[in-house]
Amino acid sequence: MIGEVPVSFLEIDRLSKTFGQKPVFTDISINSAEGDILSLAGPSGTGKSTFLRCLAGLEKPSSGRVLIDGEDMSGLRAEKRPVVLMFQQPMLFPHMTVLENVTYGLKIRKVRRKERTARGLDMLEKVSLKTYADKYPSQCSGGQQQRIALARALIIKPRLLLLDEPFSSLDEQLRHSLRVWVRNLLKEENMTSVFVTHDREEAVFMGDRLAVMDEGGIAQIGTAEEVTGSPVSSRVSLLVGDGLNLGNGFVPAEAVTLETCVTENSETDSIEAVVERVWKKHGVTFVNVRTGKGNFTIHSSRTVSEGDSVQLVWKRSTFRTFKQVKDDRHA
Amino acid sequence: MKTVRMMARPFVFLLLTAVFIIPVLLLFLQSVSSPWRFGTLLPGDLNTGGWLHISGDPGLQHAIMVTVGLGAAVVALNLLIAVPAARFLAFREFRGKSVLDTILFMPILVPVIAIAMGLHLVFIRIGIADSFTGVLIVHLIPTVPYAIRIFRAGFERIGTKWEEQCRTLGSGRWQTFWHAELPRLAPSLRAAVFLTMVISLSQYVLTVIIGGGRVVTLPLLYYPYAAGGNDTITAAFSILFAAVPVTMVLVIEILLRTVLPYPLKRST
Repeated sequence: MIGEVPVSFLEIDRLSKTFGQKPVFTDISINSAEGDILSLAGPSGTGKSTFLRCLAGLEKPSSGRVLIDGEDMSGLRAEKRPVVLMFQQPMLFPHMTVLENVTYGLKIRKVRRKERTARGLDMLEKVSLKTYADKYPSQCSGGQQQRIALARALIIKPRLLLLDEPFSSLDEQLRHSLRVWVRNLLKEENMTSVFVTHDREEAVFMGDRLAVMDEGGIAQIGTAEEVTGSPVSSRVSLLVGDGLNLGNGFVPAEAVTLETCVTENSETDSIEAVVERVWKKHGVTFVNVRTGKGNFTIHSSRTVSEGDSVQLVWKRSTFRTFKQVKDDRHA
Repeated sequence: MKTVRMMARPFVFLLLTAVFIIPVLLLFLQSVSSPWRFGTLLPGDLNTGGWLHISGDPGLQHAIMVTVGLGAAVVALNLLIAVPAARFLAFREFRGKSVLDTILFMPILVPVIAIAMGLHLVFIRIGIADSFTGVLIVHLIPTVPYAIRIFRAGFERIGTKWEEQCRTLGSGRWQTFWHAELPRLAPSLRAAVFLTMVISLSQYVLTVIIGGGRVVTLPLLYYPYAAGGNDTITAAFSILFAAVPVTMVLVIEILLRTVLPYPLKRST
């Protein structure tokens, strides 16, 4: 995986962090190309935030190094790194106007007022908040505040942007509209980013690539399709997998169909299931079924109702055995 | 509820007038009239003798200069010591923090006269007894513990997350303090400045012991003036004495509004 990227813009080389005797994460190596958004998913408490803090320089890693465009960040303090970290909360300065907030990074870099204002208004235009320039953060909504925080981060043109669950304090609807919008802006600015989230859907949506962090390490990294479609372990499958976890292997969701009566076939396999819930979303009917291997959600055009016995069927050739056998009792 | 509040309003106004405004007015009247005998409703005459007397006293003028200079220096040193100390105590966790906290509060717990007596001997030995410097240092004892408390509460209210947000945006420690913390510390700053100044201004015993009568501040002159028995002069002196901290607070307020990088109204 690592060897495939010849010269990577962001190179994280066996980064480890321990608090006292307790390891938080161990030997994490990630490479990312310039302008790529890497989603980092995983359950809470696996050290995702600490990992970002190490990249930002707010925390000192116990070993390993971080290179950005070939430059070693190890000796650099947080304020000297070309890295900005965005927290869960927008953290806008309450005593500054929106424009003053956005141009803060320029002010401390001694950019002249005139240029500062021009660039600030420009950036506010990009986040569609130009009319809010002279307002105070308390007069803006949660989503607007997060957009202002993003503008404040982007205006200093960092070489790496770290986002630590930036939408988690917002309600779902806002989160959905904001992520489309943030992704487009990051792409437009060609911003190399690491986006941490514990929301599977958000991770898949935001990232060009998806890394799954679990128990202090990277369990799997690849394109979203690779990771969700063929997880390497049962654990990864439980965290981000999009398909049927059969304990020893995995069938991607698109290969599974729901049938009410099954004709025996040498090319297919099936498992019995009971319908638990039927609902509609995006104009498609979804069915949640309980199988001997856990619950599974599938979309189906067949008319079934709750309590029905059904079969989940897939072609044998689509089954992928887990490469790593690991127990999943934590899930 | 509203009507009760409306009805109470004139009474509150009368009470406040009786307690705060009338005494000050009386004091002012007394300062511009001859001593006022019991039984007369109004002062008998108007004269500027009291004010002429105190404005003609070169010792008093010198004392005002010393008092203001001392007060300003005490405030400045307090800020220099208390702000970094409070920031450290508020944001860092370390072993023995509560012990250090107690030690810093000790000067207020221990009778100040006991400390002053001991310090006097030390000051004589190092040669700063009977000097402005000595008095300045000794005035820090009853002020710094309060200033640290005030700023610590202010920093704790702000929290450490802002420092991290500022650092990741590229600002150093001083820039973070100046742009992100100080404007939001304005209430603490005002409280600390006012309190330390008034405490310094009220010191009598410490100034007498360490200053040895050579460093003469306004409180030291208060007794001779009051003991003189002339109510007119005493009243004029009292007004002057009260005007010193009020003027200094005004100056500080103007400084806060002009020097701080962001408008103050948003700072709380």
